[in-house]
Amino acid sequence: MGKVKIVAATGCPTGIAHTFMAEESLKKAAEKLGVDIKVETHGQVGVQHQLTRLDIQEADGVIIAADKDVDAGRFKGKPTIDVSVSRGIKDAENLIQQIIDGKARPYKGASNNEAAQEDSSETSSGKLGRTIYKHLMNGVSHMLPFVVGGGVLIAVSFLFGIHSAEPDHATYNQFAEFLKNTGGVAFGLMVPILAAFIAQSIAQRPGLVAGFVGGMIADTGGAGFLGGIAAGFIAGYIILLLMRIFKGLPKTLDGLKAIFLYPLLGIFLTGAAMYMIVGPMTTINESMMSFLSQFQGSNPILLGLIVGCMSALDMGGPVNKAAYLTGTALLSDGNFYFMAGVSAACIAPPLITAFATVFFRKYFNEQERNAGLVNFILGSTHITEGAIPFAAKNPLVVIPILMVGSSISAILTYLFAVQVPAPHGGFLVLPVVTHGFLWVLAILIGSIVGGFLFGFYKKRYYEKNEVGVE
Amino acid sequence: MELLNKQLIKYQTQLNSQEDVFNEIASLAVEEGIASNKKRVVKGLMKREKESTTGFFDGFAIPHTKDKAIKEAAVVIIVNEAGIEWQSMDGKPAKFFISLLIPEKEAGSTHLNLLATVSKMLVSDEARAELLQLDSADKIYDYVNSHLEEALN
Repeated sequence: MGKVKIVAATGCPTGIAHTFMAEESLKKAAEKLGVDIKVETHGQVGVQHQLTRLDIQEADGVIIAADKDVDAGRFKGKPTIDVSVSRGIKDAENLIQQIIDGKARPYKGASNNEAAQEDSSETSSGKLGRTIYKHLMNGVSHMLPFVVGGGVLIAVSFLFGIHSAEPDHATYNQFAEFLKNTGGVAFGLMVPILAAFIAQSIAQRPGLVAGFVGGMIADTGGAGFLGGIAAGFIAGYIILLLMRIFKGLPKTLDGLKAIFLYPLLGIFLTGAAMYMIVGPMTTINESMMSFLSQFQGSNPILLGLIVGCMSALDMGGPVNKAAYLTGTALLSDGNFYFMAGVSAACIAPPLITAFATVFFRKYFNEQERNAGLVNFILGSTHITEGAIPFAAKNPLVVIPILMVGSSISAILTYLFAVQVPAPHGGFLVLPVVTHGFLWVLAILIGSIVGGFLFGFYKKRYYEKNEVGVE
Repeated sequence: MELLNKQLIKYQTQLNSQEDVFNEIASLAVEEGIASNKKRVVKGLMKREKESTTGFFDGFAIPHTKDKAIKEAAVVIIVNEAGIEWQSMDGKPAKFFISLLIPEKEAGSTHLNLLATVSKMLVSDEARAELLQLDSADKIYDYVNSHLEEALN
C-alpha cells in the first residue's frame, strides 16, 4: 500500500480565520505523519482547492472539520471523521492518525458534530429557507436586467403616444414600434430567465437547460412569474434526481450524460410537469373572471379589495390577467370606472418597491436601489412587472404587502369615482382621465403605505441578520 | 492596499476584559479611518465571539468580524500586558490579539486571502513563539508584514 491519501473540507460561519487555520493545521499534521492531504476550504472567498470526484474516490479517508455545510453528501461511503472546525485546528494529528489506523467509520450522511446536533431542529428549517432563498436570488439577479432594460424601452415607446406602436393607428411611429417590440422581447425572456437561473443554482448547467424550457412553458402558458419560480425548482430538482439515478453509470459515460441524457430527460420531464401546471391556468383565469364579474356592481371597498389583491397577486399571471381582461372588456361596454381601479392596482406594486428603496435606502443593496428608481418609471407607465424581481425574492411576504398597497389604491380610486378610458399607459393617459388628480393621489397613498410596509419588513429582516454571519 | 499599519498595532496595553479589548480594537479602527462606527464593530466582534471562541493557543486570539461599518480590510494587533480569559483552545488566558476586520462588501479575494495568511501563520508553533518574543510594535509590524509579503509573492 502506498502513501495514505486524505481529503478534508474545512469551514466556519464567518469563513475568515478558522477555516484556514484548520487547513494549515491539517496540512502540517499530514506532513509530519507522512500522509498526502488535499484540503478544500469553504471560506468567505468561496470554495478553494475544490475536491474533485477523483480526489474523493482515491482518498483513504475524509476529514470534515467544519461548523457549516460543506456538501458532505459526496463523502457518502468513505471512511470519514466529522468534527467541528476547532477540533480540526487543535487535534489535526489525532484526526489523521484515526484515518491511518482505519478507525473512521463510513460516512452515512448524518452529522455527528456536537454543534450540529444541539440545534439541528432549528437550523435544518433555517437552512432550507436559506437554500431556497439562495436559488431564488440567483434567478432574480439574472432576471433583473431584462426587466429594467425591456421595461424602460417599452415605457419610452409610450412617450410617442399610447397607440404609437400600432401600425393602423393615427399616431403610429415606426421607431416607437421598434422600441416596444424590442423591449417586449426582453420582457418576454423575464420568466424563462428566472426559471433557468433558479434551476442553474440548484443543478448547475444541466439545470439551466431544463429550467429555461420550463420557464418558457410557464410564460407562454400564462402561468406568470409564480409559474416561472415553480418551473425553476421543478427543473432543478428533476436534474438532481436524474444525477442520483445515473450515479451508478460508469465514468466513461460522463460525457454522454452531460450532452445527451440530462438535456433530453431533463427537458422531457420538466416539460411534462409544466404541462400539468400550465393546463389549469386558463381555467383559473376564466373562473377568476366570472368570480370578479359578480362583484363589479358591489360597493367600492369590497370591489377595490378584490381588484387590488388580484392585480398584485401574480403580476402577469392568470389572476392578474383576469382583473385586467375584465377591465378592458368593461371599457368596451363603456364602463370607465372599473378599469381605473385595475390600473391603480397595477401601477402601485412597482411604485411600492420604488418608495421603499427611497425611504429605507440603507436596507436595500445597490442593485435593488437602482431597480427601485427605475420602478418609478415602470410604475408610472403601468408596467407592473417591475415589481417582480422584488416579489420573487420572497413571494410569501412581499406579495401580501403589494396586495395591501394595491388594494388601498384601488379602493380609493373607486371611492373617488375616477374614470380611466385607456387600458394601459399609466400616468401618460392622465389627460383623458376624469378626476386625474384624485387618481394619482389614490395611487400614491397606496404606494407609500405599501412602501413603508415593505421597508419595515426589510428593516426587520436586516436587523435580524445584521452582523455578517454568512 | 495597506492591510497592516503601524498605527493599528498597540503593544503593552493595560486592558482588563474582553469588552475592553473589543473597544480598543474598534477605537483604533475608527481613529485610523478603517471603520465608521465603533459600536457596530464592537457588536460584531462580540457576536462572532459568542458563536465560538476565537481564542487559540499560547495566549493568542483572533477576534474578527465582517460588517458594513468597516470600510477597508485591516489587521489590528493588540498585545496586552496581562492575560484575559478567552475560553481558548488550550484554556490559557489570551494576551496577543490579532483582529481581522472585513468590510461587508469585500469583493476581491486578495484581502481575504491575505487575512487567511495571518490566521495560518498562527498555526505554526515557531511563529507563535517568535511573536511572543517581540517587544515593540515596530518589530511586530515587521514580522507580520514579512509574512504577508511572502504570501503575496
